[in-house]
Amino acid sequence: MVPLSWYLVLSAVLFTLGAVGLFVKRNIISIFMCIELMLNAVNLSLVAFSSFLKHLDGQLFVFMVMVVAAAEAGVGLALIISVFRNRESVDIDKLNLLKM
Amino acid sequence: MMTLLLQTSVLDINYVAIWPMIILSISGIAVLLFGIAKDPVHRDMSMIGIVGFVLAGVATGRLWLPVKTVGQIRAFSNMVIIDHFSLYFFFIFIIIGLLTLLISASFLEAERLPVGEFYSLVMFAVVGMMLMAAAGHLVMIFLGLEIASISTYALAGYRRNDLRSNESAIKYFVLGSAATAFLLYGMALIYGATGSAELEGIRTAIIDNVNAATKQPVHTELLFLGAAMMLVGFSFKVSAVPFHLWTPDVYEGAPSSVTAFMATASKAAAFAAFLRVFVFCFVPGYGQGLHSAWTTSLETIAILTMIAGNIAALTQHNFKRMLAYSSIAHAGYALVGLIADDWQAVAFYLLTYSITNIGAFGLITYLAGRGDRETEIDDLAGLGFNNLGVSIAMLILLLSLAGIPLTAGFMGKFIVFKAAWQKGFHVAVIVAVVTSAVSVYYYLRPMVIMFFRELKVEPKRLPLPTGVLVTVVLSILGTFYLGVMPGRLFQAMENAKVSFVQSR
Amino acid sequence: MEKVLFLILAGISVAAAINVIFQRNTLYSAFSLIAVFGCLAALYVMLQAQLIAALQIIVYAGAIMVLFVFVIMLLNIRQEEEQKDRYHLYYLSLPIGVLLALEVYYGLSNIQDVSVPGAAVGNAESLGQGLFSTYLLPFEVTSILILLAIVGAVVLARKERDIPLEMLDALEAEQAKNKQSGKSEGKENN
Repeated sequence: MVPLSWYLVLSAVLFTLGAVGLFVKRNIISIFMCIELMLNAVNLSLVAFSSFLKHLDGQLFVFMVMVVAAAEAGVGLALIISVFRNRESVDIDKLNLLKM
Repeated sequence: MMTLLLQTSVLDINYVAIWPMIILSISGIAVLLFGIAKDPVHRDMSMIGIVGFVLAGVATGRLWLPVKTVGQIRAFSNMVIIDHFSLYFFFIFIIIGLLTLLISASFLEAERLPVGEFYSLVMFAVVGMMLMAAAGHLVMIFLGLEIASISTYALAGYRRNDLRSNESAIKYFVLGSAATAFLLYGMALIYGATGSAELEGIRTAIIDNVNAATKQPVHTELLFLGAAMMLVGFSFKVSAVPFHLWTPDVYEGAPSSVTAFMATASKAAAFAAFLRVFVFCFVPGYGQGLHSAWTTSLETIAILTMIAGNIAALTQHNFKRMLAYSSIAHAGYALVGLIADDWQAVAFYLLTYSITNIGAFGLITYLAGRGDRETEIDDLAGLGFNNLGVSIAMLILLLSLAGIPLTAGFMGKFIVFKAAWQKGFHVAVIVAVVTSAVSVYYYLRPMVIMFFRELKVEPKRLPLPTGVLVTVVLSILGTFYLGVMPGRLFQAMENAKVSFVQSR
Repeated sequence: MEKVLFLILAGISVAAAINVIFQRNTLYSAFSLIAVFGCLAALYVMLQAQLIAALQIIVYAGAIMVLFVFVIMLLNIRQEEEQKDRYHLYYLSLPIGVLLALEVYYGLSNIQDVSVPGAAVGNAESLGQGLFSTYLLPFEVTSILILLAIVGAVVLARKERDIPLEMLDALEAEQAKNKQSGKSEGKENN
């Protein structure tokens, strides 16, 4: 039997990798993928808690997270397409019209 | 297993409790459907939206008395809690949503942008915010937050041809989703630590120090870590320092009326969920010092937020950007109320701030002209000679934002600072008072430019659109009403104090 | 045995996640992400959450990632644009990552293993029951979420029919001129 903490540590590692990717990547699509990675890391925690606590809520939560991720992907990619149309680029560093 | 057959009593369905959300969702869909008619009339669509908001307001009002007698209504297996807290925030969201519709009508028409979609997105966003305020379960907070945020992402990028609008939407989207991920991680850890995802269950688990699922003591480290992650997520959403960097860019680039919506309603919704989780669940005296830990860290965040927001606002040349930094500072003031554990003060503060700010942004929508091209503060030069009414309205609203006595802004700040002072957060209150004094400078600068600088070119401005006029008049009336005689509202809120923490 | 399996899956998923970050080709990083999702699905099976595992494959790897890959192909991002990731930020991200990892480690270091007696949860029946009883309202609320996602996506990505501002300005000036002579509705711009 794999202990709960192993799952949690894996989830934390994946979350951290996603968070690091958020800073490192320049391509908006890649940044968005890093966010998906973070959401998945959270899902792993939720499922692990749910099955170790024998408590259904965690898995139902994951269900909702998946719906949200799908909706977010739809809107986010539409946004990326609309930006690409105007700029011919998905480089986030070139989005500098509004001064940081 | 035939017991599976649906027994509706098990489902705990209570339509009355969620009438406001139902009405708004239906009218949002109605506006959408109306938009596909052959030649949709703009005025009719506005009418549907306005009627939807008014009906939702009526439905909310009709819930007030039942809630007063019962204390709180819980429905859908504790998924929603309707108490005075949620009803109060419902009113804020409905007012802001309605005024947002009014100020966006003219710009949508002038730029030939799709109207029905805009209105329905605003309405759905308000539904999401209501769900956040009335959430009794972490999943409802998450879903409400996502409904509100995703529609706001789309609204921020609504001006598709405008590069600034694109950029604003992308930045908002990326940082907002990242914040959601942090928030969600916090939720997962709190769920693991307490064995419950219901707010009531979390509260009980922390008070009894028993994990609801394992019956072992609550895992303190997990709980703290989860609270910290949620703190980060919420700080992003209310744009508190150091998670505020997105705010100026996003607020500057988005269409002005959307900025108004984001700066007021989104912020209020984030604060509502913030209060629900932190004040309601992480109660003082339990959880191995969880309460003092989060209040201490939030006190630091609030102080930094007030200082950074106000100082950065001093140097801005763009009006919307200045108001963005001012909204950061205002989030800091509201956080001062949050650490004092006083939801009434925070809610009242958010009401005063929202009412004032939406009027100011309404005027910006008008003054910036088509495509929001004239949002520099210098563009206001000579407005005082040119259009006395508009400049006086702007003057009043900016004075209220600065917190001059007799206006709503003063009353809101007063209540919040008093609550925090009584709880012993003296440093935070002193910083708040000093920074509000500093803030008068940057609120006065546009006025000086309006009244004492010659206008260079005669701007060709259209007459004030009716929607903006109505919004500004309502906002000024509200500013004075809340500033001069907020007594009745206080009374109502004082009566509501019990229902927030009342257990079943 | 199970631990070995876990370690293998965890190793693959971490390696793939690292590849998502350090891969310069967006398409390859999307594929790595799919590999992460696959490993997670296998882990869900080990946690006896079979339905979630299936959904992970169907929804995440199947639908969402296909959308990503589709958009990447559609936009046809040029290779040279991906060559210059923010190297200076690698150093910045290191302390942030270490901080986050330490914080998480502090939280998870002394977690005692829990074992609650009872049957495993996570089959389709129990999830379905939960979804349509306790989670009825969230389930219904997701319909609003999906509706608004459709509306938002359509509004943002619809083929342009917008009129540039300059043209609108010119149009308005013309209308103002015409107004003296007669009524013009300005419909000719379609």
